[in-house]
Formats: sequence, C-alpha cells, structure tokens
Amino acid sequence: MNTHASPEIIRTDNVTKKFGEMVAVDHVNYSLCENEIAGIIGSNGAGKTTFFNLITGYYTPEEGTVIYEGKDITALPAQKRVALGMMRTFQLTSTFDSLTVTDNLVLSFIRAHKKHSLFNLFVTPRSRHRNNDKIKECLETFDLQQVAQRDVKHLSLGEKRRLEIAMSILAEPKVLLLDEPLAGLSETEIKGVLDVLRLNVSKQTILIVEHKISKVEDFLERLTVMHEGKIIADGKCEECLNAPEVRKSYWQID
Amino acid sequence: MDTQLLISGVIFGLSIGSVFFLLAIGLSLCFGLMRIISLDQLLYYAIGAYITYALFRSTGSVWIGVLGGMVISGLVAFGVERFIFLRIYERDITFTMIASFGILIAGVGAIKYVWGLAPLPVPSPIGAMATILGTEIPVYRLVVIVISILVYVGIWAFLNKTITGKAIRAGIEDIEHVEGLGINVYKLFTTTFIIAGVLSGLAGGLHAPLIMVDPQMGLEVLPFVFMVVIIGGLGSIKGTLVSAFIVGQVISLGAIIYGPLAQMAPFAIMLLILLIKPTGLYGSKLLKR
Repeated sequence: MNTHASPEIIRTDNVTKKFGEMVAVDHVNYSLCENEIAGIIGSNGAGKTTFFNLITGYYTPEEGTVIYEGKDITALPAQKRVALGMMRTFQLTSTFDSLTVTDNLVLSFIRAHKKHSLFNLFVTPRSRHRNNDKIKECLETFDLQQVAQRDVKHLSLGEKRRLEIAMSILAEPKVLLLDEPLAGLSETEIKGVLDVLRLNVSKQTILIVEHKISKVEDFLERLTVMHEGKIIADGKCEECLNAPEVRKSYWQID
Repeated sequence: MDTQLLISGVIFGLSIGSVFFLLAIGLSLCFGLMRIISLDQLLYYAIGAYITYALFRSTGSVWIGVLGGMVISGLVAFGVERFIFLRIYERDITFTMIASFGILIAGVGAIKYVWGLAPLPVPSPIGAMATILGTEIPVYRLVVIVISILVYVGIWAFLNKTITGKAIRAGIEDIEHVEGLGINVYKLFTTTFIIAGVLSGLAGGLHAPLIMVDPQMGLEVLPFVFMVVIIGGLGSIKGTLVSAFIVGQVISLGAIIYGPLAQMAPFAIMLLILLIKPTGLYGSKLLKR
C-alpha cells in the first residue's frame, strides 16, 4: 500500500468515530511517512474532516489507536500534540483579527523557538522579535510585507489564508495538516498558496484535506479517497481517480 | 445647584468611578479570557481594604498598607485560582459564577472572624486640600483618579506591547486557537487572574480612606461594578474606563439633584444604554461564542 521509503510518522489502526447512530469514520487504517505530501479527498460527509480531527486530537476515537512516531497518542489532547510537532490549520481561518499580521506570526513563533516561560512572555516583541530574521523572511515568502503592521481583520481571505499557513510553517512542525486550505480562494490565490507550500516540500510532512481534487492534483504525491467513513482508494493520484469505486462514489457526487 | 457643589460632585464621582474601574477591569478580563464571572474579585477588594487598615495600624502609613493590600490580594487570588478555578474552568459559566460567589461569602465570613463586624476607619493619607475654581477638593481624591488613569495606561501597554498581553488579546478572541498554537493557556489564565486580584486589592486599599472598612463592602459595590462592566462592554478596557466614570458621575450628581437617585439612577442609565446598544458602549463581538 505504501511505497515511500522514509519511516512512518503517523499511523491509525482501526480508528472509529460515531456521532449517535452515524459512523463518521469507520475502522480506518492509514499511515503517513515522513516528508510525504499526501491528500485526502472525498465528498461532503465522507468523514475526511472527522478523520483529520481524530489525528489532531480534536476528537477522541471510540475505537482504535492513533500512533505518532511510534507512540500511542490516542488520548493526548490537541495542544500536547502541537508540542510534539503537529500543526494544523482550520477550514475557517484561525488567525487573530484584532492583532497585526506581525503579532500573529510572533505568537506562533514563541512556542517553536524557545521554552516559553512566563518570564519570556513578558518580553515585548519589539525588543526581541520585531526585527527577527525568521519573521521577516516569512513575511516576504508569503508576500505579506505590505500588510505586516495591519490588523488581520482588514485582510482579504487569501491574505488571511496565507498568514495562517505562514503561522503554521513558522512554528516548524514536523507534520503540517491543512484542512481545506484552498476553500474560497481565487485561482491566483490558490496558485500563491500552493507555491508557498512547494517551498517546504521535502522538509516537512504535509497532509491536505480537500473537497475538490482538481485544485491539488499536481501537488500531491499520494492520494487517499474516503467515502462514507471508509478509505476506498489509496495510492498515486491517477490510479486512485481511475479506480472503479472512486468513479462510482466520488465523481458521481462531485 | 451652585458651581462649588457641582465641582466637588464631579470630583467625587470621578474618584468613586476610579475605584469601580480598578475593580471592573479584573472582572472584564477574567470574563473575556477565561469565561468566568469572578465575583470573588470583590473579596480581594475587601482584603485590600482590611490589609490597608491592618498595616496602617502597625506601621502608621496608609501607602504601605495599600501596597501590602495589593500583594496579599494578589497572593490570595493566586491561591484561589490554583486550588479552585484551575479545576473548574471547563465547567459551565453558571457553575463557576456560583463557585466564585461561594468564595466571596466564605471570605466575608473569614474577614468577620478576624476583624469583627464593626466598620473600621482608615484616615486619608493626604490631608491637604486643593482649590479648583474656588472649590476646596481633597487632594487624596485627585490622587486616586490619577492612579486609576495610570493603571489604565499600564494595562493598555501590557495588552498591546507585551507578548503575554497580545496572547491574552488573542485568547479573548479565540482561546482554542491560542491553545492550537501550543501556548499554555493556563499560564495566561493565572497571569490574568493575579492581575485582576492585585487591581481589586488596589481598589480596596484606595477606597478605604474614603469609606469605612466593613466586611460587607464587597457586596455593597457589587451591583455598581457589574453595571460598569456591562455598560462598558465586556472585554473592553477603554469601555470599562469610560463607563466607570459615567457610573461614578451618575451616582454623585444624581445624589446632588435628589438623594434617592444615587442608588437608582445608574440602573436607569444602564437600561437606557443597553436598549440602544446591547453590547455596551465599546462592546465587541465577544458574545458571539
């Protein structure tokens, strides 16, 4: 099933999540290797976001286990998983509207680059971070220099999305999990976001959940298709999309 | 109404508003960040006043008393946060509110046990009078107003300039996403709670020379402080300052116009403001969650 040479970083064994009678994720076995660029697609209600929430700790599965770097993290809360190097974005952007773009970046920066003791938290950003090269570099890469001092609430959706991905990359996670990062963006903005993600390819494991395959097809090394809580295809994009089950369930609906 | 009465009324209103402001920012920040209605802040207010009294009796200086009151209030707040709130933050807001009311009542009981039921006097540390437009004003009242404005500036700088402050503002917006960045939000909670406790203690210490220190003093200001928080808009520091001064003026000038108005007029004003602007003067979209 998996031809990637690098070691496994995330694995799920038989994870199951039910909402009342509905089985949202049904005994899913999935594994992700280091530095892999993988995607999960599926129609609405296929269970992809639920599965994502199980991996990132926003839900706890009723059955099964989630393994991260060989350790069982099934019961670990979301913020502890962040500390292990898992970073996620949300369908609705999770930037802080009342802060400036730079301040948003500073907040995502502090955890990654030093132990944040209370004392360190009292340091003003101007003294330590404002001229920080990493943040500067990040603003340039994501084409956010012009809006660096602007409050996030005045940004466009594309800019917010870029900022959100910038924040998650700045935290230097081992695994970057992106939940529909392209939803609601224009064609040029999509290209911008993907270009930025490409810069980090081979340095990071990336898992993307998307609704529409056409947007991310060229970008992914591996594709998984979910339908009604189950994985129905897994492998190279083309193979997956031509698989008979996928043709039946995914293409028909989408 | 003559000018002298009006001027002394305005100054009286500003000084009482200053005390309300110091109490209300703590409540407002605690609600904004931790989603708790921390009625026990009024206990730290009373503790601040009693420690001021006690230290004044032993050292002869009201100012040492006020400082000591801030320290002790902060320490008690820290203890309460550690041993009680840390275990119940996740619970329903009504649960934490009732718990905080329990802490307040228990604390008032402890104060009665230690200092007795009788109201105790604390003299004004500054006896001098200043003359403004021919009206004699106690300098101490002016000092109280200046201190509260300095606190406002300090809190503003803390929230806007330091990383902790920015993290607190981010947390007021969306605490789960702050957690998602891997920031330990409980440290932010503790920091905020201690700041609130220290400011409540400061409010009590500064208020002590203007009133008699008595065990029920927290419960007596409770409705007014609540009003300040609600009129100002939850989570807004600027709104809290403005509304504290409004409520102070309404109480003070209301009393000059017609005695019984002092108690009732603020409620009428609150009703009016909420009818026009349900989120309060500077209310944000906080309540959407």
